[in-house]
Amino acid sequence: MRTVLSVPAAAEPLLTVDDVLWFLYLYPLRVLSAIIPRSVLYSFGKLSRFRARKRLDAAARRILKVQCPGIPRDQIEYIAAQFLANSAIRMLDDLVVGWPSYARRLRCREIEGFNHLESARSGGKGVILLTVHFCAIRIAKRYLAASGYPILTVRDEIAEGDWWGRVGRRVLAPRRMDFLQAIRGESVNVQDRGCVLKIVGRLRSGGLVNIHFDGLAGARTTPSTFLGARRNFSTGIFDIVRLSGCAVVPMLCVGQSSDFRIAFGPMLEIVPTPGRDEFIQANLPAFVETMERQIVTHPEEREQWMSI
Amino acid sequence: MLEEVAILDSIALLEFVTAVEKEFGIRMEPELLDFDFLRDLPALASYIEHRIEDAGAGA
Repeated sequence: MRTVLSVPAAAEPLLTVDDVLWFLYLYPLRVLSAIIPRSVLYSFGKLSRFRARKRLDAAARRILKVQCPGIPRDQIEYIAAQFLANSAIRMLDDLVVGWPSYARRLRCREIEGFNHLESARSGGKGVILLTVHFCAIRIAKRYLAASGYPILTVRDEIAEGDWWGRVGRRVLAPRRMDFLQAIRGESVNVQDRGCVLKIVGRLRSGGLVNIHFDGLAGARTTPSTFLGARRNFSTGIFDIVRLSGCAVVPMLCVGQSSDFRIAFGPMLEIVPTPGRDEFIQANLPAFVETMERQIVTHPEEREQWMSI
Repeated sequence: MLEEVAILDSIALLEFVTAVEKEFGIRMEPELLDFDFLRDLPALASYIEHRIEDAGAGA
């Protein structure tokens, strides 16, 4: 006779510290973000850095040392501290863009290389804005959308989170999901079956699509060296470029909602080849090199360090 | 339905669309690049027929 042993799941606590922090973030802090000056709002970010600071600092330093040999060792502590501060500010800026009047509160210092974007758009086949996960990308995209340049963002589904207690899971998790959906702007999940069709539909309309090149790899991947380490990249972007004929423009965004800068680089020169695999191998190095350059120049802006 | 004759991921769907366009010399409108439309093969065939007829009438 077969015996099935069942191990009782660990009881979920009624309330966790994360429940309390998410409550403070989604309710009082969100309301305050509409009325208090940005400098005061950002001071809450400094407070949050004390929580788990040791753990995050250590992780940031380790990742920077392992993955980013191009960055001088004597700057690693500074970069780690800045990266933590920027990550906190990004969360606070999310509160700012969560309000309907967000466009009035975004202060873009300058947009460099706008001619590169316009030149790419004039091709009529749409433009992929190639980025890495930088803290200021979201505010930049919302700013551009409010300025008449709507951007479809390709991204992963929002994870539900495993930090909740019973109260948080029941009350705060749905609220957090609604909030994050609202601040993302126009987006399509890579997990959607029609994801690529939506992207190509937008490109065929001459529109803009943002793809984070350093995102988690998809079902079809190809290996490459990135920041000194070997990793897999999704080949989906290369299939889209090859089959749609769209332009690819690197976009860089740094800063915070009260003072940020956007820079468009020259269109990447796409090497046409007869086959799919040849196309990937011919064009992958330019994509990798462009994105590595952004990260090595602004390592403190990369939010992806946190989730590795 | 399309998924009954082939297992297609998102990229494969795009390759399917591109192949159909190339074969019949048409270009599908962006709003028709939709999974629910493409999976309905009779509707897709009917659409292609109409596009070919329209191209023939216009010639």
